[in-house]
Amino acid sequence: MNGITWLASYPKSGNTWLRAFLTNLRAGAGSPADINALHAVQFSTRELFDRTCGWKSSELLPEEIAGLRIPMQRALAEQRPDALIKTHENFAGHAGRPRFAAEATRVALYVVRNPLDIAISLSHHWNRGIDSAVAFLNNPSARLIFPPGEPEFDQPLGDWSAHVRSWVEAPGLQICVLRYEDLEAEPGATFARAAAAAGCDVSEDVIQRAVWHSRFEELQRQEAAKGFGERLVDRPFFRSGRSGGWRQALAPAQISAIVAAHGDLMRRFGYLRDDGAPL
Amino acid sequence: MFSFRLYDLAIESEWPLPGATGSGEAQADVTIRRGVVPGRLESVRGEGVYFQARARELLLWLEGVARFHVRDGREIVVGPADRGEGPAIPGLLGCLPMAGLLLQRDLLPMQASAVLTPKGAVLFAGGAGEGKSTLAAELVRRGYPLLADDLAAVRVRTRDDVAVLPGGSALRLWPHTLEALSLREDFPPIRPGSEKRLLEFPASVATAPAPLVAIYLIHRGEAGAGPAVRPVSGAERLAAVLDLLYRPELVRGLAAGERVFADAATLVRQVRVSRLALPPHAPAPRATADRVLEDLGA
Repeated sequence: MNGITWLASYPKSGNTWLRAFLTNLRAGAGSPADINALHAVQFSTRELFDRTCGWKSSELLPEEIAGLRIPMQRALAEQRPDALIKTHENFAGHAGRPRFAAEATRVALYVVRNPLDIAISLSHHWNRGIDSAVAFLNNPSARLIFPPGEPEFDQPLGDWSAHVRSWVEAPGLQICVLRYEDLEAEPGATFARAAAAAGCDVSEDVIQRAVWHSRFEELQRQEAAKGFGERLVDRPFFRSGRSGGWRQALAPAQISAIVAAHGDLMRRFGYLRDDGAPL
Repeated sequence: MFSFRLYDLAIESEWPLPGATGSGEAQADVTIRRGVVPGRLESVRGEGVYFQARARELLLWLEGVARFHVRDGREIVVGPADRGEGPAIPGLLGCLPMAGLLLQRDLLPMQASAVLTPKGAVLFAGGAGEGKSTLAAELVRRGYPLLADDLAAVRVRTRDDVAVLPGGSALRLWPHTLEALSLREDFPPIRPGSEKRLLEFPASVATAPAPLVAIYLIHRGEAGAGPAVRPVSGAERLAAVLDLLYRPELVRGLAAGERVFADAATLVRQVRVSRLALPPHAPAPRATADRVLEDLGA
């Protein structure tokens, strides 16, 4: 079946790592792919909108742009039948208008990560305090905000739980849910599941090589050597990649605030014990 | 009717086009008028979410706003939608319909802004929001005449005659760009409800075709780094120039592919093509303009 393969996640949850793996998998080369030429265009860019919809988004009003989202996805599914498209947006529609076209979707690969670790990563990525990251994770109206004229559109996220639910519980959506922690602990098996869901029928050797070429140390090495065009501030994008850093970095009150807001979903994905203590 | 010159064409139009200058002539090259627009074209060579095309004929639409029928490089017929989005039409006319018309007139419509320097015309190309218009605005402020904003028309006659046609005196800028340029006046929106602003520079506009000498392909560089120029060479130059066409699917639909490829191949033998990396999220128009002028030797 043709259509868009969405690489979806809440920000700082492993989306870029998954892109690196799929790029290396498709390339099948003997050396690691360039991190500045990863496959998967970003759905939120004005450039993708302009090139797909013809009209320049800068000449259109927000409601006209919103009205072209679904036709744009149908066009992308037709023009790029093997398209990998990255998104951080919440899947749920607004005011009766869907945000994503299930009929133009081949599959969604959704990466979920422990929000306690996301808090540290967001704080580093935006160069803001951890309290600010916790407030963002818990904010039902959270958006990635770009001023008008920036290369990307605003992206609605919602709070972390709402974001995860919007994707993993979306009716009729073909989805493969991957835990960041499993990508880290069992990369071979977990990335192989992603490859199968993305329709890549390749041998285990090819998968193992792609996993090796996209290991975190390699991504860090390339960023140190030649930079990474997607980082927002003058500090490394690929920071530590390790799970469980929250134990040292988060204060008890910050942990409690996240658990209080997202306990149900955290338990469901194995981030909380039955007694409510974080794992 | 409005009468003006744009892209070296005498145009008669029911709508004013932003930045169009001068007066037209008795015999118009192009007419833009309200009329009946067909619902579909038959036997098309290309179609997509916004267009249908066949040789020398193009149908464009924006649901709820207007439909445009572009024919033979001579006429654009506009069918506004019932709900009356008239104010949107001048801005829309200046992008896709005009690009289609330029293709029909054997020109190269490029997604680029252009200014005239002492060395010749220079194009600034790049994706939406990457800083083409910002850089053009900074150079215009320094007294370099504006040749085009966002849609540049390039005429390729021979290897020694590759020229940018004057595309008007208007720049469209976002509020954060105005701030970066310290322009604090109250400029009008490009259309009601838009945050983008229209700036006219009638005193600093090129009015004659100018030889094209350089193309800068703007892209996001590293956070924290300054503007950097890197020459593009070999086959990458032709691919990069073809990628600037406004828009490749229209070229195919209008059966203009062979001519456009030949023109682009001629162009890259004559014109310097460079990549210009700009720091993301931190517009630095002055430093960028300095770097470009240094690179040009202007």
